[in-house]
Amino acid sequence: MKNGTRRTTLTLPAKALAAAERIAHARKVSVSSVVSEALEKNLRAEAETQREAERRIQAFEAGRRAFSGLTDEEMMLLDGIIMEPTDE
Amino acid sequence: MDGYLQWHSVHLSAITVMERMRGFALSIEREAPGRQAYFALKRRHYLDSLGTVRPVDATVALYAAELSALLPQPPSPPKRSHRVLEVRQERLFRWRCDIMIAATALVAAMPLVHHNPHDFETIRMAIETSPQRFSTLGPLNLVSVLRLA
Repeated sequence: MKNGTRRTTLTLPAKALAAAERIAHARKVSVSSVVSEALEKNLRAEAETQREAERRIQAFEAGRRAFSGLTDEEMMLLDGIIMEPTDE
Repeated sequence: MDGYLQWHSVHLSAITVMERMRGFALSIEREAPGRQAYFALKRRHYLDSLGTVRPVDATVALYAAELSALLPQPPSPPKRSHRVLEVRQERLFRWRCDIMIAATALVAAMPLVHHNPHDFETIRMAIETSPQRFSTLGPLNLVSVLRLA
């Protein structure tokens, strides 16, 4: 291990590898750094998607707590249905 | 529903939030002090559940106006049950809220999750049968909340 890196062997799609080589050449950096940058970006996006899904589920749970245990009448009021007594 | 939320982001219309918060405010106002705290906690949970809230902007207002002109009256009568009746004015207010919620979903090109098939189906049909009034928008896609349960 060197500077927190590890050597490995990957099998990549030929087109993706050619694109990475072009980018590396244009930027004057190694193919390894282009591939690792893309991989890290993808992993960060994946983690963010996961966190977002967890936030949504937490929000849904809060919503469930907000509306659980209410009577039909109470729920109607929260749905915007305002009922008044009638003389009939 | 959990599975749906895993992959879809849920947005709320500001009008839905207004209707709910009005309901909480009325509940708190009408209840005895002990129950008021209960409803205040429920309201807190509701506020915690809010994700992205979509405003009624100029575009939404324009399409809501088109819908209101097309459908001036609610498609069903006021709700009624034993010795209580929904005031006609309240029914009309609720109908106009539904129109604004539908216009918000239409402009955002997002499916509308609802539990009021009668009202929203009427709005969906009106959009479908008057494409010239909603030129670049539509159709309005409806998803019943029961399908997500």
